[in-house]
Amino acid sequence: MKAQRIRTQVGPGGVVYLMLTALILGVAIYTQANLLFWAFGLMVGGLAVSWLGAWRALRGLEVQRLLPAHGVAGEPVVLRYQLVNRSWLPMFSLVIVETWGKGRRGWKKSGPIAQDYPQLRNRPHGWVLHLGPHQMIQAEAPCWPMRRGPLRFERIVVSTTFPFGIFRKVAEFHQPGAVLIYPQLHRLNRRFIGMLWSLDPSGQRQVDRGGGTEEFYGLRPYRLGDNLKMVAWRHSARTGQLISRDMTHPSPPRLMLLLDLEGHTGSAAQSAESASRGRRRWRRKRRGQESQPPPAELAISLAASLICEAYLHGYQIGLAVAGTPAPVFPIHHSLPHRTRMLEALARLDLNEQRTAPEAGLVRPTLIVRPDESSSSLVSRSGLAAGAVVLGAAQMDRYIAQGAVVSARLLQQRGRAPSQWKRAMKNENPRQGRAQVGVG
Amino acid sequence: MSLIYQFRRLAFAQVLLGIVAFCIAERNPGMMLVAGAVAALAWYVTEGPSGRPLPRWLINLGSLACVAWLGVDLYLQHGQLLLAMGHFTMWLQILLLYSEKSNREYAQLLVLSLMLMIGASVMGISVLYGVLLAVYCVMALLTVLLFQFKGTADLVLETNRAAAPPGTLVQRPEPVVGRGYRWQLRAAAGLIGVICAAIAVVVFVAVPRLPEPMGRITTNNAQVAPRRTGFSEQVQVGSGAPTQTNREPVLNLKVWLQEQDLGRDGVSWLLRGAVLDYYDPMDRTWLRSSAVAREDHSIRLDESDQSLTLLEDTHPGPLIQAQVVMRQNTHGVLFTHYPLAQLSSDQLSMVNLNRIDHQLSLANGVAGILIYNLSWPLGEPGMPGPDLEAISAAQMASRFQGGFWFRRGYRRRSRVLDAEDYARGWPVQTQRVAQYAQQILSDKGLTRDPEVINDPKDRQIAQALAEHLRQHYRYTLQTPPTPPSEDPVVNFLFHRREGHCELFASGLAALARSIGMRARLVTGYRASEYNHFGGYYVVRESNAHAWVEIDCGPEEGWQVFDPTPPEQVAATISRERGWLMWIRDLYEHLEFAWISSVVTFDAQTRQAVIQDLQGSLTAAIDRSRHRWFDSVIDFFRDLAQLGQMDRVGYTMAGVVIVFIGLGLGYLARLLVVRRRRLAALQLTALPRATRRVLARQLRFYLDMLDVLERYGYVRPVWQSPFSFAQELAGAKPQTFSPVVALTEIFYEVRFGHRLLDRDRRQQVRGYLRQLEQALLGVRRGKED
Repeated sequence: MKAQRIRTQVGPGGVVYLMLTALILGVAIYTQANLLFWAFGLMVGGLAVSWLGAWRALRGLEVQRLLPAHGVAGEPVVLRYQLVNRSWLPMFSLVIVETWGKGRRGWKKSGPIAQDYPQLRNRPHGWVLHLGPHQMIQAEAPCWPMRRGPLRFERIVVSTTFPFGIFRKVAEFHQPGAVLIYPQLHRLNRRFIGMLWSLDPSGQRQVDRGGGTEEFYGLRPYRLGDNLKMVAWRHSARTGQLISRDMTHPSPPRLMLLLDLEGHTGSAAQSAESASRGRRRWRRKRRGQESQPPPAELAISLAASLICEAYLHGYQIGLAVAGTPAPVFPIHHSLPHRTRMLEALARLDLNEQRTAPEAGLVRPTLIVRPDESSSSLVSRSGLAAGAVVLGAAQMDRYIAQGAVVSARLLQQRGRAPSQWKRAMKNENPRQGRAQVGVG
Repeated sequence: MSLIYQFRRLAFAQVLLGIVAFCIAERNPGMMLVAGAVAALAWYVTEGPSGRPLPRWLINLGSLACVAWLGVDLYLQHGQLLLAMGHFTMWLQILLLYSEKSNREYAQLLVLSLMLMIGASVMGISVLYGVLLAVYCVMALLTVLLFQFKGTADLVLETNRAAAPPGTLVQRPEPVVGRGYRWQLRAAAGLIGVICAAIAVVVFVAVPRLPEPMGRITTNNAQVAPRRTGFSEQVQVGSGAPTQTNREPVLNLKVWLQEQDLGRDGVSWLLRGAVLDYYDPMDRTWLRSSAVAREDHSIRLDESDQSLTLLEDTHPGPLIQAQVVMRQNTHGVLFTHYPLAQLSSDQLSMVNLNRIDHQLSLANGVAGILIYNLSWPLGEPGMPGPDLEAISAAQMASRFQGGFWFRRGYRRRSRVLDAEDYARGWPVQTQRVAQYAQQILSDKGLTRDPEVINDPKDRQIAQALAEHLRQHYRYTLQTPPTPPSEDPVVNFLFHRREGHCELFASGLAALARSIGMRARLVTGYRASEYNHFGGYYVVRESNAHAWVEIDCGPEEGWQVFDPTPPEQVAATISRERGWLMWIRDLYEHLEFAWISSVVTFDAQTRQAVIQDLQGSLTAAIDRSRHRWFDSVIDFFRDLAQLGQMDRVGYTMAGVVIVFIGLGLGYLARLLVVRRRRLAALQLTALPRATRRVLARQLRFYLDMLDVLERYGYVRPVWQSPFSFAQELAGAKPQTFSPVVALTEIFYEVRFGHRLLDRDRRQQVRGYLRQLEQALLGVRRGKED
């Protein structure tokens, strides 16, 4: 994409350079020392070269942003840029910056940095030392999104102050785009995961049905396609026909997660956010005091972490959200299922106060709430009977010590449901007896 | 990161170079040694194996010490602000070199270094400083370029750190570069340097110059770097010999007559400086009396040709022309020849001329180098001195009261000038000296009445006295100071009978004065060292000389007599012509060229350069109107005239041109072949150095393809060498086994970085021969 706007500004060293040039000229006139006239000529030459460089720079530059499929809040997201130089001159020292709003300081008034609960702390910056004529190159600019939701981009600003920093040539590329940022993910502690196993009684027994791979269920005649390892050779020899061993089906825990945001959406969410608006937020930011995320965001983060851990351990899990519109996901175990749930959590709009009608019909085994308030939907409807309620306010009790957000949770392949029990035995020698955070 | 390391090294070298250049401009080798060593040590301390910058409090303490030293330095340098500030900024830079440096400190360091060079440029006139300045400019260009890269990288790093959550380790961004960035960066830097230099030349010529500097930060190097010079406005004959070891050039002298250079080895010229008419027996010093100094007149140079004429044009005979380039301003004295016909200079508007002793001096200060022209009549003997009547009344600007360069102590001895007593009489052992003089004269058959002011035979008498000293006295520089109880001149005449030029001159003046003649001591320089590269005399401090001027009557006026034996002087200061002298001559000539073309570039020179450029442009435009072959023919015609070529010359020139054309064609072919070879081997995307090596190493593969092509086996562009070899080997394994072997070697060299050694080269040649023979056999088999 070609630049929409190219302009030239005075660079960071321009004023100092001009002052030095004026000083040399002044001393040269005062003393009539010819070597100083030489030096003045060189400084003027540098000025002229800078102007020439600024005049020709960034002409024929094309930039395209290459965004990743998604990101995770608190984890670095690498924005890639494809730069193409269509001119016959090389380009040096290009700085690539994302910006929002109008003007040079528009990013302070609109965009993800200017939000009340900002998505970014600062603008992503990338650097390209050299881009040869008719060459294409890829550059990177890392950014650290602080919260979930779509991270929208507006404009790319490419600038250079080559060669002496006297002038800055700036080219702007209007290129909207967005990356969906998943909620912040935490590694949950092992006791808590063990507790999840104990939540569903069905997870502690095998299904009385053959065709599985878990434990011995009985014998049956061999069917075409049966594994030869499962053939009961002794019985087959005795009976004269092939007999196969039939195994029971595994039954991993089935968790229905209800994210109860009742009372934390709509006007309540807006009033909570408006408390940290405007100059106070900038002052805090300058002092390095970042605002704490709202409790509802913590609850969403806990729910996302639960979904990821459940997927990793082979649990089947479903999701319903109360308090804000969101689809209900039935209990299932698969990567696309997990991805869909994470995307739904990432897109939750806390400013809308409406509950999906299906959310009131689910029978949850696990309820995640921002706090332990009694004014929640589940309390009113009586659906909470027998369910474990997790308060996001006690988040520290559920996450592993020292385990910060880790995008590896997303990259690890989940265990097959047939392996869930073995995995739990290895991970939790106490068979998940601990009662953690049961509300 | 190599870029940042390179910047640190370059910035350090630039600062060090600035310090050395300042010390050279200041002519302070001691400071250069100390400051240079301390600054160089900073690299080891901060960047060495266990390098660590000094703590901040120590740097701050050192800065305070620098400020204190600035005051002390100002006091010691007697208000020489430039020197004191230069030392101050120099030590500040050295302190910064020892500190921990962020980009801000680096920027401060570079700005301080630049300011130091500004100060040095005001003082420095030597070609060595010019070379250092040029190197400094190149280094500054590279340093600023790298600093720009480093600053941008640091800015990106800081921004990313600010964007990252607290506690996150953010790595410095790796430079993203395209293909061939090194040579493109070098080319860009070179182009920037060339453009800057070209613009600097234009600006240097185009910026108008003032006739005189507005201020006097430093008026001359003698004041900036005070040193003892061989020339002095007073002569203390009681002390030892003047310093002769200082070979610092003071001025250059070029002498010609009717466009013919008169300078050569063995021919010397006396350049008159101060004229001393009074001998103080108490101080044993020759001085210029205040009464004479009061007769200085400020005289404006003629505005039409910036000249001052002292002899009428009606004077018979040709004039010897001379150009004096004064590198140092020695006490405001203008060194001239005696008698002088005309003085001219573009840099001077007014001079001081004394009515009595005709001493010339500067009326106003001149910054840096002073160039002036002199002329005097040929045939010096019998020529009267300058006549102030020749100076028009309009030129007499004012009456200058007193010599401004004299010490206050001498003014106390001033007395009213008596025309009869001027430069007459000898105060020490008058009778004895007079008897001695009369004795010398009687040996020559001459006599003189001491009461008479002028005698018709005064010229012969003076010559006889000078000749006597030259013949019977020995010239030596090993002259110990005379005891306080004895007068050094009397001691020289009657006891020691050997000494340096001042004693010889004092002895002649004493003898002449004792018998009633007017005699005055003159100090100046004896120009005898001829530089063959430049065609001028180099006058050094060691060439300081003293001689005598004696009044030979109203007809002849004051005449110059040098009683010092010239052969002995020449033998003392002569130098052997060796390669060292040759190098020194060359260096001095370069320095002279540098000074005359750059350092002393003034308004008049600028005007001349602009006129030359205009003339060249006009001529070029006129030439461009001709057809091109007319220009070529004109060129060859000019060339023929230049070299006076005949038929043989034309033939030779033609042969040379043909050879040059063939050579250029061969070079062009080489380039084309090389480019094709690179394209065939698909090496164009590699770095230049790798490309060159691989193109040489992989040539055998192209030879193999040529052989195969001759026999009808062509590798398609899309096919890789490996599959091509496999295909051939699959068809005829026996015949094409060398192809497989050569392809394997190709891969080893191209991708395995295993270059061919001698054995493998032989092996490759063997495979090629084997392949060719096999293919030949196949062809013969088919033909049979």
